Amino acid sequence: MTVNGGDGPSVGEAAAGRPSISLTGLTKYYGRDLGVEDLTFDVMPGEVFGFLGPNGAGKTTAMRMLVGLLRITRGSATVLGTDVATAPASLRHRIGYLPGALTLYGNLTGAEYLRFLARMRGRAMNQRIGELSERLNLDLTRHIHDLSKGNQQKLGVVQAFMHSPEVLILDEPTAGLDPIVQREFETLIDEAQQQGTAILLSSHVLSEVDHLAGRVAIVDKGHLLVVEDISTLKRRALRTIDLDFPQPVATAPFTLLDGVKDVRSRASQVTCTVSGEETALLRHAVSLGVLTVRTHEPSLDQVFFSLVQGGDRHADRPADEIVA
Amino acid sequence: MLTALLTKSWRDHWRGLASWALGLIAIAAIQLWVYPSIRESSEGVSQMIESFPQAMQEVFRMTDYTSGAGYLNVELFSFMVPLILIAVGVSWGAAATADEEHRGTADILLSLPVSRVRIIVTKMIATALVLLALCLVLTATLAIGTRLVDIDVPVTNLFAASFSCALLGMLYASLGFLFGALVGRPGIATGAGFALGIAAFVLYSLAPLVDTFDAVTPVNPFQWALGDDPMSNGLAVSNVGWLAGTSVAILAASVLAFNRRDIST
Repeated sequence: MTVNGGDGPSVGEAAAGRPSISLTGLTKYYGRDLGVEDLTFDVMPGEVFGFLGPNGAGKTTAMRMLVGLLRITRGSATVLGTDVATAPASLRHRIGYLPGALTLYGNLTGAEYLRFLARMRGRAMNQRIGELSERLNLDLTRHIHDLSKGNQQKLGVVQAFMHSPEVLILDEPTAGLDPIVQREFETLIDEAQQQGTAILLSSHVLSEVDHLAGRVAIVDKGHLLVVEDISTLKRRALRTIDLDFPQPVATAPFTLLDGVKDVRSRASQVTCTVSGEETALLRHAVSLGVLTVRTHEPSLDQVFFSLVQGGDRHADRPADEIVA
Repeated sequence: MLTALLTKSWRDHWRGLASWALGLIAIAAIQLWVYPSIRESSEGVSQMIESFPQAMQEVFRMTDYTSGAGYLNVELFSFMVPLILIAVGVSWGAAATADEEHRGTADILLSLPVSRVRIIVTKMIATALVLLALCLVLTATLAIGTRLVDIDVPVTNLFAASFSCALLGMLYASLGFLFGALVGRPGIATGAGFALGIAAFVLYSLAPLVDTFDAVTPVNPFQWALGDDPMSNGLAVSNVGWLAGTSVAILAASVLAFNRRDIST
């Protein structure tokens, strides 16, 4: 179900395969200080798009431009085909936004707060609010200043989802959520995705967006490093691999293998890092009678490291994703 | 409509508002309560005032102290009431957008499908109605009180004096809005707005003594509000026009500034 709360152009564009969110050379300067520079990427309807980078990389800046909290210095951004710089306020009927540093009105109860937002949005959403808060196990009768950070975050999630927007812009949405709620949140994301909602989701932890997002953009110091499928990215990233053998083995031959680095051994275990294909390493290990192989998921740090260190920022990226 | 935002503004601040209203009622009641004894000893009081230095009489505009209207002017409208209404106005104006931004609540508020212009204008209306309400509370208190102590001032003049001060409050509220929209920090906006209010008050009060101060009196908002003695003479269209027109101009600038503002995190 796609809800079109506002006026103006509607569902048609999504059907035509136009991106729901489109950044073209998006740039923000605060005075002379760089916020972000030349961000270019698209998020399609029904896509969960991860927006990754360390704190202060510019993710929040870019997202705030999309919802109109910050004015764009250069370049452009469209949401649902409308340029956000000149978009009427009604465009935001179709956007759900969860800010990174969430502050709500502490003197209201959860129910009062959501009712206030619903009135400001000009629609009653009681049923949807009830359903969402039940699923997230959120007590709406308590005053917000009495709620834990995690429960406040749940309220933030509810207000972003309650009007069934076509575009969700979620800035570090799982901050402070316990694992059970996090799983329910992921279900909400899945449902929204199936309804064709475009979801831009930021995080400074790769594992958070790992199983949600298909593609990710990685930013650092205001610049886009890469836009890529998350699986491709992880394949190229440095991974740490533990190999257990029946007896101690020589480490020297490992260091000669393609893509293998940092070989260490302790007793009969060999630990090394690998980037790219693992075939050569595994073949050698098998020839030595390897017992178990454990691959550690690459962290965002490792992905960064391979992106920056490898100097292959533009390698094997599909043409349509190459940043202008 | 934005009635949701309007009622929320009042609801959030009803305690503060109630205490300002009670404060106005209290000081008006106390001044009226002691008036009969002042009137009875009017000769003594007149002599006492005449014994004050001429400068002091002028600063506190003590001519005509023993008449009902003169007494209210000196005790209430030369200092307390204007400054209270300025304080209320500045703090409401400064809080309107800057407080939301400073706390971070603006992030979600401004992500709603409501334009910034509508949000700030709604808050301006809320502020204007608050000042009007305080003006009416004061007028009603004085209307009842003056009847009880036999002061013969028409209700329309009581209203004229209160309303002038409310307009003065709105003018400084508009400065609160402007500074709030420009800097996004409620503390700075309140401080700057109130400092300008105090500065104008000092210039106005000392104008009878200092010629250079007197030179700017025609453009001093206190002159527009109080200079032509609305308690005795009612509202003058030109003064109301200056107060309202200046406020509207500053408010319009605030709307423009807020609409262009980068909302900080």
